[in-house]
Amino acid sequence: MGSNMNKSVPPGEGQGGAEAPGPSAQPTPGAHQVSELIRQLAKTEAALAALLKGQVDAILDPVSSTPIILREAQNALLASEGRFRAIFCQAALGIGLHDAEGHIIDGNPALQSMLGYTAEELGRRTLGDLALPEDRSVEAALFREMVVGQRDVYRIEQRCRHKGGAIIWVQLTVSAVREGNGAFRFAVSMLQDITRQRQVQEALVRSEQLAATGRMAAYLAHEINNPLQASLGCVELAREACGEGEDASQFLDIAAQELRRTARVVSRLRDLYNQAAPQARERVDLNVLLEDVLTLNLERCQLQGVELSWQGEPHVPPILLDADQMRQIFLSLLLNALEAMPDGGCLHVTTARTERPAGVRVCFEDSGPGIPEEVLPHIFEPFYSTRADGAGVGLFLSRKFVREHGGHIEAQNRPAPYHGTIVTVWLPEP
Amino acid sequence: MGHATHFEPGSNRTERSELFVTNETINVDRPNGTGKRIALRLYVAGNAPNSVRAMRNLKAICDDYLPDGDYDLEIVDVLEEPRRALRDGILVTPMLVKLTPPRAWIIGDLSDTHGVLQALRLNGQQHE
Repeated sequence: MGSNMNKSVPPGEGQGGAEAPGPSAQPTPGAHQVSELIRQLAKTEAALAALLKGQVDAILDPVSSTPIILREAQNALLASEGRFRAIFCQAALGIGLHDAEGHIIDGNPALQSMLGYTAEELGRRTLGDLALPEDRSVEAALFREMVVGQRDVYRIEQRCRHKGGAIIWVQLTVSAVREGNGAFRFAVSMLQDITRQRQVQEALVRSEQLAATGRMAAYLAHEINNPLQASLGCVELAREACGEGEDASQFLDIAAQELRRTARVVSRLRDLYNQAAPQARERVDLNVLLEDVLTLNLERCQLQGVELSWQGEPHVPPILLDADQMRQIFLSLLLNALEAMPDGGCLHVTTARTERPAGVRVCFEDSGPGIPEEVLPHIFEPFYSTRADGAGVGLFLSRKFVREHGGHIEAQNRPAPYHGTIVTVWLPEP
Repeated sequence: MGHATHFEPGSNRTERSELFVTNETINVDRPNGTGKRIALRLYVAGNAPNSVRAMRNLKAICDDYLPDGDYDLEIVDVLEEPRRALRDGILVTPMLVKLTPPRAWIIGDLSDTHGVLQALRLNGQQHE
């Protein structure tokens, strides 16, 4: 430090300090300013050096005229760091910190346990490395978007490979921590092991498919058995006519007509239950889809004495959806309504366009006894059913599917003096 | 006068650490020998650790090297008088200012006795 500074400060003035120039020194204004500046810089440099060595207690802020007590700031920082460490180390969720390439800079014990890797082993990997190959591209694309500032957070479900080889499902939430100017600093990931939930969910879907199939069995028997019986009768009549040398074509025409009707029923049912794999979403006219479901069940409604009325608002916007899932939802709602009216009633189905937010609202309004108030809050819960033969998953899955489409579903009783239930499904316009 | 801040008796020297002093005021070739009283002003931040250490160390230096009491010492607590400290050009605490020429600013806890003596130009004046 500075012997050269001594040389630059004029004698007398330099010894006296900035606020007390020596009486004999008469530097030029330029030289005075330079020496003053040098003094200030030297003082600042000395202050910084002391600061770095931990020998400073307070800094005076010339703007606010208040001292900043470093110990308090350090304590606050230490407390904050301590809180973060406690959360990081004790959290049940897996937490990872990532650099801009996605490498796991740090992974908490829960993450290590979840994936079976030590912290050091995790440090050589990215989230993509841990995901199954077919899941990698989606996650990697989202992470890149976050690094370049196109998004701040993303949440996906993906499969990871445990070090031991097992596949685990995780719900992954990743968020960016940025500098003051918005530049990417690092990312925080939180992983929740949802393997068990996924297994239960898949079991529920299978259960619901079975239950829906069971509820449709009686209808199937009726729809297929009746034309088959009619066809058999006509074939017998045709055989007799042929034996007596008469024209049998009239009976054969009727038999053929009934068999075609059977084929149509089977074909539509096949479409309705074709859920081997999630279908790609497509733009669908909800009026057309609803009409399909209602038409298929029209005769059942008539047999049960339920008057079905259908009122679709013309020109509703097409909705981006998985048509199979949506058919299952509407079929489930329709069958629920029919089960609520075993002795007949009215079922009114409508569609309407909504503006704010933009979408389509579908209402199923029945004239059954309604849902008891104490039951109403629970009807979307899994395994909740008031029927002895109910699986209690129909409305639960309906809500799940609707939510996956960005919509919502709700049920309420019709206001007095009416009775019955209104189930409303709302789906957003793409 | 500045806010009075207590010195604790039986002061212990804290561990040795670097002395931070503005350079232009150090002139080891001109030992203090003028016989004039030395005016010192120590800016501290309440009882913060470095400030307490600086007060202890300065007290010990004064006792050892200025036993005749040829000094005036004012303690200014910046928590009490922040505006005054700012007017005096104080950036951080603890900071010792030697007011009598040649002026010196010494930043830190004053645990580097040799450096403080050089800055205060009290070399070779220890009285046992």
